[in-house]
Amino acid sequence: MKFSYSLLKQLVPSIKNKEHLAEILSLYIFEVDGVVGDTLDVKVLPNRYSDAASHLGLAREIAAALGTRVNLGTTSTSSVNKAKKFEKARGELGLIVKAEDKNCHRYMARYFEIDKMNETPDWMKKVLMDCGMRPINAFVDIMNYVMLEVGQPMHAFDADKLEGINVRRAKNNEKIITLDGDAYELGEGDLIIADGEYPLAIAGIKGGKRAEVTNGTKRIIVESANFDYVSVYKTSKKLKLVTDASSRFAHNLSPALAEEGLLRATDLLVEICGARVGNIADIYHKKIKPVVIKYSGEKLYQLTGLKISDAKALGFLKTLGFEIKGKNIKAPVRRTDIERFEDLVDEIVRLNGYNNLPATPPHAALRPTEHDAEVLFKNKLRSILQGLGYSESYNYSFVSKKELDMIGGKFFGEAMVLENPISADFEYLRSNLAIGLLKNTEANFRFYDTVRMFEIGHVFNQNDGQPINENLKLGIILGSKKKHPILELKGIIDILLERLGLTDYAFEDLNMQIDFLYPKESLRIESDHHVLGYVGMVQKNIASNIAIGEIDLAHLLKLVEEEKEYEPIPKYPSVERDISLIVGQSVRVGDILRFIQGVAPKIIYDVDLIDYYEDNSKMNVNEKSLTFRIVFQADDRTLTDVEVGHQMEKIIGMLKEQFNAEIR
Amino acid sequence: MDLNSLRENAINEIKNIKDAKSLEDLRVKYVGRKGELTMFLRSLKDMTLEEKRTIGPLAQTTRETIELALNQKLEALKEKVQGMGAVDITRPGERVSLGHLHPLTIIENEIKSIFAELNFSVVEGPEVESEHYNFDALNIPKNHPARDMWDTFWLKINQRELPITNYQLPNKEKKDGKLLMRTHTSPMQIRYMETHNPPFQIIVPGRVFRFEAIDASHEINFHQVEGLMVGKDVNLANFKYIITEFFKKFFNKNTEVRFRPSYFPFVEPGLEVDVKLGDKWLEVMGAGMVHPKVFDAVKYNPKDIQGFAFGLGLERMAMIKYKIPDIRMFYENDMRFLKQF
Repeated sequence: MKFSYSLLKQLVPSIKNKEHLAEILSLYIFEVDGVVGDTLDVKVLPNRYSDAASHLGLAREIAAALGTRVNLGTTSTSSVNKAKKFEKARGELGLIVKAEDKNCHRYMARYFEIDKMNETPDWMKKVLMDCGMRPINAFVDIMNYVMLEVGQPMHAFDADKLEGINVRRAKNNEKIITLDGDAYELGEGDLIIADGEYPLAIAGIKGGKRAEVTNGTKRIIVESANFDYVSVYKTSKKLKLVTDASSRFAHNLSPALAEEGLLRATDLLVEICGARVGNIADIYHKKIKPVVIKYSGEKLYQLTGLKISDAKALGFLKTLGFEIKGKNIKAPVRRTDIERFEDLVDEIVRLNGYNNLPATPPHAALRPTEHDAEVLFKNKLRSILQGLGYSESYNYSFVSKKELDMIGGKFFGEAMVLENPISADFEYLRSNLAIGLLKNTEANFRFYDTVRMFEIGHVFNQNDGQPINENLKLGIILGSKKKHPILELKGIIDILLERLGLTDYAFEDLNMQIDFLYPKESLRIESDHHVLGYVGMVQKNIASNIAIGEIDLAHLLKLVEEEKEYEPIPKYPSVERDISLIVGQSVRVGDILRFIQGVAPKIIYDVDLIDYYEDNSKMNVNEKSLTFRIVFQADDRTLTDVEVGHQMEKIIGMLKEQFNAEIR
Repeated sequence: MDLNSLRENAINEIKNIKDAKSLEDLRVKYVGRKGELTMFLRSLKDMTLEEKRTIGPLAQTTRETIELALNQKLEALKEKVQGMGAVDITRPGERVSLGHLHPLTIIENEIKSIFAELNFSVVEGPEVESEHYNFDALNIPKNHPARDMWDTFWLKINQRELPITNYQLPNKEKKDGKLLMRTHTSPMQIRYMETHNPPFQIIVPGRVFRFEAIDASHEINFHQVEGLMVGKDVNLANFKYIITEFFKKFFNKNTEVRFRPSYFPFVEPGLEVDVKLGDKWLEVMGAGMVHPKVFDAVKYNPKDIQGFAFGLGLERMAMIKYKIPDIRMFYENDMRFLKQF
């Protein structure tokens, strides 16, 4: 919000200069966004619009921070304002003012007659311009100026263009054309100012064209009202019409401001335009009661650790206009933010200066920390993957429909959609990490032949009638222009799972609908009869040379936690035997491994492929040579050569039979 | 033949040897069982005691010298065969490809470890939230302009009877509450307090979302670390101490920290924290004493319990620490950027 330095300086003469003022504001009151010329851009806090979103209000704060008083001087309201108030007032024109709707907390209006609209004085023009407003004519300028000075939005109607005033709800589809010439269609939730028949203004938001004040206007009604902040906020949001007035009203102004504003406007109309002053109408539906709070220095100390004398603490409150009666503190009615003791504490601590608050180590029982298991698990994953040469990426949580369709497949579930996306590129919540990682890899392919990346993040999906899923996933990708990447990535997943302490898992045929993968070179990762994830080659029409995998981390964590158990060191020695065979190209290593293991699961401890060889010049085309290492071990005895030999014979026999293998 | 010329001959011959086989022959010639030096040493037994005393030690050193030369030559030949010794060891070491953690992870880890040292536990929460946790329970009511401080992404579906897996929603939310992308990590204050009793101190790192136009300093998703310390007499002076210590550890021990008044609906008093880097004050944190209405929302008795809460932005911390000019760089995942961390 923009403020005029010269007006503030006039109100608080002990301000030294702009830098001084900016520092005082930042340290004790509100942050200053910038100072340009005589304009200060001040971040008025959202709970302080009622009392401090005005030059007078801000001056009160500055004076309190400097330990001085506001110099009211020319701004104080004079004796013409001692006019009587009426519940339903009749002005000289027999004007009837009503406010039917209770969302109008207070409606004040005053009738004026003017012979000639004079020029706005230069001092007022300067303040308006400092605050980013354009001077228009004396009526409008005075209304705007009062808002800047007092904080109360004001409005002037041409009294000859309306018949009576009523504040009511709009009818459905009722239309209004604003001062700017824009047409709005209103509904039953919207509060308006109307005369007998038609809308004159959208209450608290914008005046209408119909009763606009022009240079020829001779009789005006000045409105100074207070509307329910929720009502103004809702209408302003709905119409997408945010004005100076609407944003002030939406921040819960005090109805007390209406009176201050009207009196000040009266003064200025008399002073500048020589106005003749009529009666005041004041309909006050929701009278506010001042808040009274008990002060306790002990409680202040308990909450803040600040030791300060009651006299000093209450002194700060007094300079802000609080009334002190013993320990009872009565807040000024304009302070709609003050509700409880903690609110007083805020005032005292900040005016005393946060610099003067002690910094004390807390006293707390020493208990061990309890980090979420997921936090530690993610750290471990990251450090393993980093060690394996994979770099971490952070992608957006939002993706496009096009990207989701490209990845495709039931496996990822149905992606959830935003009601208000920022653009079509970010319309859905990501249901997988693959979209982002694929993009990263292709982008990095411009500079690198090999790209190794991973991401750990939340993905979201929903299946018909099922609960919404928010899951923690690991995505890992290997792009290589130099070699076929799938086996390295598969190996990386092996190492990762082993390092995490998971031994009971298996790669199985994919058998899942994941459209962007090439099914022949893709596998699912299974453990304990659950699908943990997948690893596979990306279809060529989507991207070349890229292998990718995703793992459900919440599930993995559960498995790892359950599985972490000591395994006894074998008492008896193991026996290793290697076996080399030639098999047809179509025979799959995974099948052979599983098969050998199955021959004697009790004593075959491990089977590994230790050599893989395809060479068309030496062997028949469509053949491959494989060497397996079989580790035999028993829990209860040392295995004899005879026993192992017997098993080997059995294995060889069955391999010949099952896979048509030639043993070398 | 005298020992000196024997030694010189042997050394010269060793020098000219080109392969291991000839070197072995030479070894036999001099120090083999019938080698020249061996024979000489054997002849010592026929000498007088006087001669033995003078020639003996000389013969011994000659033998050692020749054997050393033979061994050195053998090593040299071996190196030649194995291609060793050809490396210019002063060349730069080869780069093994290592992975890099994302700068935001690195910053998050630093923050976590500082707070862990201060006995704070690290917990996390969901990114899809309900209106209740993100706003209502934090004293940010519906249709309140304070909500405008958080531009929100809303989800299209209403919650109806569907819970979110892993994350519980309050009963009334299951019927009519709207779901949103959490706009801050503060909902975890509520979730944690609902399920734990004070005293405790936690930090909550996590991803948050804002409906904003993307530019050099705004992103639609970014990361925060929330902090919450609650107990019988955890006060604002304690906050000042903890946070000053934190920033001194995070930046350096001479870092100046300053506290200013501010406003967030879920704290009172509310404040902001700046650190001075170079000659500039930079805003780095929002904070305050937990508002009694927030304690009401989690059914704590505000008369018995008090505490402070704070929040800081990871991207902002990383941008300050590494002098990164544009927030979008964190989400481009350009390896030329990531490799620097």
